[in-house]
Amino acid sequence: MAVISLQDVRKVYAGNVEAVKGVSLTIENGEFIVLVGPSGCGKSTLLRMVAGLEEITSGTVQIGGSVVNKVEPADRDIAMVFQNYALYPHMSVYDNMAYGLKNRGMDRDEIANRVRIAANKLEIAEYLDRKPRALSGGQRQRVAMGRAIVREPKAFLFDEPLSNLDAKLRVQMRLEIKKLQKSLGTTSLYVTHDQLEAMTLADRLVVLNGGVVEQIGTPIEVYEKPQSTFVASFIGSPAMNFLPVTNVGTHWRLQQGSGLRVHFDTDVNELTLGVRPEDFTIANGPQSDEALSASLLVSAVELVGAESFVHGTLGETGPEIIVRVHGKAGYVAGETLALTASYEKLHFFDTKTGKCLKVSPSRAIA
Amino acid sequence: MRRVHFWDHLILILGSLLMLMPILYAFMTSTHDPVSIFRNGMQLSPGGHFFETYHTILTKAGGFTKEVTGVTMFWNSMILGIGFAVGKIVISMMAAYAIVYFRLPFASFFFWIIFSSLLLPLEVRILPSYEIVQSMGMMNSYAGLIIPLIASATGTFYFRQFFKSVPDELVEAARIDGAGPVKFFLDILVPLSRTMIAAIFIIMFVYGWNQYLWPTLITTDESFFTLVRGIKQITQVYAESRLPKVNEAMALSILAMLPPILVVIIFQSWFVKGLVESEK
Amino acid sequence: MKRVQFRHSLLPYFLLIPQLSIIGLFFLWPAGEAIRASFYLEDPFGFGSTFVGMDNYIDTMSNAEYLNTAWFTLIFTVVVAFFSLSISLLLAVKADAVLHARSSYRTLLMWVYAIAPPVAGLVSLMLFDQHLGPITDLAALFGWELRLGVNGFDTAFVMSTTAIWKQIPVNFIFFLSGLQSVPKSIQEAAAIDCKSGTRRFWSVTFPLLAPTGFFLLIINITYALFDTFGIIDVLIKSEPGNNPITLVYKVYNDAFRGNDLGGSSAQSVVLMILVFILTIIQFRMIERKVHYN
Repeated sequence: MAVISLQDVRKVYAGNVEAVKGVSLTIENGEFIVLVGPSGCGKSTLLRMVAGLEEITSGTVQIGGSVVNKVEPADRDIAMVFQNYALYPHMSVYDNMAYGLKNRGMDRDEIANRVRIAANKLEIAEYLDRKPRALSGGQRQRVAMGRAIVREPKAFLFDEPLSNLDAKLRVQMRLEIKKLQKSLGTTSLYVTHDQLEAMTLADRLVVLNGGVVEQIGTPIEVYEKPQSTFVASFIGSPAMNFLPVTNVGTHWRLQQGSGLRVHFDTDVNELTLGVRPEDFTIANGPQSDEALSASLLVSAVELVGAESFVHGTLGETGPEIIVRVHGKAGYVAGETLALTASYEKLHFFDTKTGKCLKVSPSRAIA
Repeated sequence: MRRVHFWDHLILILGSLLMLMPILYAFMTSTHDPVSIFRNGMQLSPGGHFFETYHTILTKAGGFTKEVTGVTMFWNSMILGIGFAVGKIVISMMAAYAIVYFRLPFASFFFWIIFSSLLLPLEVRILPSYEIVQSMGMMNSYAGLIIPLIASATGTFYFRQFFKSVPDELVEAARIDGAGPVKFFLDILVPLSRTMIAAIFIIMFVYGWNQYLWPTLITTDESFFTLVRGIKQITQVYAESRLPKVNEAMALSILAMLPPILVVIIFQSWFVKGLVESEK
Repeated sequence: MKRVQFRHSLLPYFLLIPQLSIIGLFFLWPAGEAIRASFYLEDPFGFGSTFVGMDNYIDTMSNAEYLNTAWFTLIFTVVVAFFSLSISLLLAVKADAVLHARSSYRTLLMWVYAIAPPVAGLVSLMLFDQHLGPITDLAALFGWELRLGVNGFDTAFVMSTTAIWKQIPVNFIFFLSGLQSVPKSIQEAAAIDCKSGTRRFWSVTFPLLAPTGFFLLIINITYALFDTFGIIDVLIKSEPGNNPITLVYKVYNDAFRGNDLGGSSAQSVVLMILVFILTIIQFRMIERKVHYN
């Protein structure tokens, strides 16, 4: 167990491609941090720099209080789980798990003991003599985990470990990884592009975009208070609805002339209003004194089981939006619905910078 | 559909016979005595002299060659085939490992030097090669026979290609597991290459066994003759005499072709893999 | 290039030393020596050599015998490549089509790969022998008096036949593996789009085999130029005389029998340039193949 801390870590590849543009982050003892972002955002590069597989262009990485920038991966006392598992195909499950320990000159009995314990914990004890190719995807995943556990390292590094599994197995392994990490209490850094995985696993999330940290926070913070349009659209499915609003002198107006009763003391001229699909209420009548009221022209309704997604446009020609409704929604295409959203559920972003507005709006009196 | 397949089979059977018949003639002829061959030509039916002929060529010197027996030539062929294959695999694996897995300052320079050796077959630089081996006193030695043949980088290319296809994550996992470059090579990469090694071994064994021009130049001492080198003696004797021992000539041909044929047939899947993969 | 490489100062050089020293000693040096010698005239009595510039090349190129040999080599190469490629393509297509005994046919058609060219040459020498050869007897039935080693055309015929026979397995293996790597879905799509099997072959399968075919063409040219040495040497019983020979054989013969070091070296260099061009074409094609995949 150890604290991992990154100070202004940068990675510039040959040809001046900047993959990571100055990331600072401290992972507390036993904490589970998830790096999430679209492909090419630098999350894997960052993880590999912590592992020592990638050189650090500038900045420092500390593991357990000492700077490890120039330390070989083997000497950093970390374990890594790879996306394709990277099991040694010609070695048995036992040898795969034992290889790292043998290389460290550990006593044979101690190795056998550790492998045994890890194998029992992961329920792969009966496969110890098999070769990786005789195992299913889920079992290989467990062996890869086992190889990390037996080392009892200072930290676990996970590089999209679940993306090669089918959907059902992924959910199951996700829970197991979480339980395992909590019971071992090992500091963990986990990379994924799957926001659901990120939300469910993380103690804290780090949302990366273009080599820059967009937001760090607990999953619920990130979901409820996204600091930028990028975070707001990346976390949550279906994604948040974005509606442009313009300043018309004394107050702000939705472009389609719907009601918006808020005002700001801000010098920003163009704002984007964000509303999550589940934060709309479908009102009974056209009148409403909520902060936002608008009409939705329904174009399609998708029933996905426990809930329905109502697709449509704001007014006749306005931006497309999605409304999430519990249960089966009895609406049909062509129908017009009255939408409202309460003041607390509205998010405002500066359209130019994409940043969440620092100034809170105040409710306007109608 | 049925009729179409009949013609397919017919063509394939004719093709198979085209391949087989010459060798069948050679083998059957080798079981007859020279006088009846001289009288009746080559034979397609078994004769009664199989053991006699093969015993003679295996154990008796002084037929086409003057001092060596078939058994000696057989072992020399084995040494050339296996020595060449093993030497080539070891040397080219080492070189390919260095090129693929290390950050070398002059990597592309070394690569081009090795690459250049693919450009010219031994045949076009035969005289200077011969003179160099002669000046180094390597005539009539196994080293002189084998080492200059290794000087083409085909093996290095096969292994380079294969190493590049090994997932990067394996090196990374090994590095995290505390394996250095030597350990990674011996513990992971060599065992991983087993099939590739076997496939290349078969190709190279056949190539080495079948060498003709180089052994002809380098070995003048009969005790270093390989079976294929011995063929040259046969043609020279054949050119001079009017009643040649065709049976023995054919028996030596069969002996010279049998080991590589067996290797290719028995390890067929490796052989085909080696041939097709290596040329990519 | 690997994403991660080891940083180690001496080990990679140690690993490269055996390969580099063998290449330096037995490849670069002799190749360089051949180029150097092609510009010199060796004194016949061994008293040094004189620089003669391009004379060896000019002498070689203007020599009628050399031009005859080059002409024969060209015809020989075209004939060998064409026939062995077409016969093996036919066999591979048939072997790919049949459902039963496919692997047996594969074995039966490829084992000849293992036979050394001179050994194949010796068997041919007997099969086409004027007195003993069954094929000579067969030719006589058609009124063709086949005289190997006497009649130049007959000798060339036997050389080509043997060289073609010996090369069929390699071509067959490559064509068959090329055919088997044509995705099943493409074959099925073609079967739906086109009823005629022959048309399907020429319009779908054949173009997909084209990269394999081009690659094999280069391989076959190289084979006909160099690897047939053993066949030729045995069939002419090491006595060129009036027999047809290829350029490579002439290089060997002029160097070791004719003692014409400069001329032989000049011929070597010409061949080097030829192989160089072939190899470059081959590599460019492989590169392109990689791109399209």
